[in-house]
Amino acid sequence: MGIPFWMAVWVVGAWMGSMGRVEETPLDWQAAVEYVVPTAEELAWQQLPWQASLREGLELGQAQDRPVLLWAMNGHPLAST
Amino acid sequence: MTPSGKLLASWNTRSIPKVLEQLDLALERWRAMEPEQRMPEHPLPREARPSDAYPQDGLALVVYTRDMPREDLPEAMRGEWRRHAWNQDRFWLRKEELDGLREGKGLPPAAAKRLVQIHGRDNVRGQSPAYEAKQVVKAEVRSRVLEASETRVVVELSGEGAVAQSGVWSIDDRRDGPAEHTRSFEGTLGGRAVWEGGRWTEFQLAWVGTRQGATQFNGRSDDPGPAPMGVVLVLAPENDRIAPSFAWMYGWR
Repeated sequence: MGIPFWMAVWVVGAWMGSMGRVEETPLDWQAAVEYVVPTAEELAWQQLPWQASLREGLELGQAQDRPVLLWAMNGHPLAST
Repeated sequence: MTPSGKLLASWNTRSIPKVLEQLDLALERWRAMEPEQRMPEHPLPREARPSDAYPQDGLALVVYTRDMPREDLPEAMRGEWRRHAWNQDRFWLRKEELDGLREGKGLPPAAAKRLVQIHGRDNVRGQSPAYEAKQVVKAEVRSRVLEASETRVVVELSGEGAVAQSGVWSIDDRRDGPAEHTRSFEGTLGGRAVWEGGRWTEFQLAWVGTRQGATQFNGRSDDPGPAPMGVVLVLAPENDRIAPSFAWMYGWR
């Protein structure tokens, strides 16, 4: 993935410090928001109509006479790992 | 699984062919079931959940974390998943915690401290515990009114946040034992928020700084920094009631 020009400038201006330490430069918060918030492609899986809890999924499965796909992990698949 | 709770199939893999195979097997078993086996005999019991504390008239924010660009990324990590890893969580604010923002008073100290204590953890590549309140070194979120009318207020957000912990713990999932370690995150906050028509319609807050150290399950044992990390908070979708991962630390009743 190529780095856009504005990002290259930002990198040079803010993160050229030794060992990756952030230099004392004004925070370009808009650039940070744009960089950190996941892309639509990264969030594509969230477009599925997931229910946030097992209970909600079971109730929906019951109402629609369908089996339930439970995705469980150490954390919340729709929130923090 | 069936709505009655019977397991149809299960897997723990990221292999798409294996997932599809198990999904087909589950559907086959579902179709072979008698209808009465599929559904619960009794209504499901209702239990208290952290999401019950959703701040209806407050603000629900999604918190994203990601490594910021850096020059010293270890060669082994270039081009693989850790290079692009990100994580997410939620941060909730109650209405009374937000009122000061519109008046240029920023967030109350307790709310700023909660933000720093919980979201200063490095969870970009995996799970990590929140900090303790006493490990918050600095937590301040200021607001400056840029535009104000009866129906619309625009504020600029700024601040600082720093957390640090020293102690004994493991930093590798399987290979090491507990030892003396430190971890920290320190950075600057900046952003913008808009209150319009009686609610917050825009909210963007970035916290960018230097993370250092590792915890047992956050995948940093071979890349403890110091290195740049970004934490960004934006409005959660309208019906998103997923609770923050450390909701019990809010102390809300």
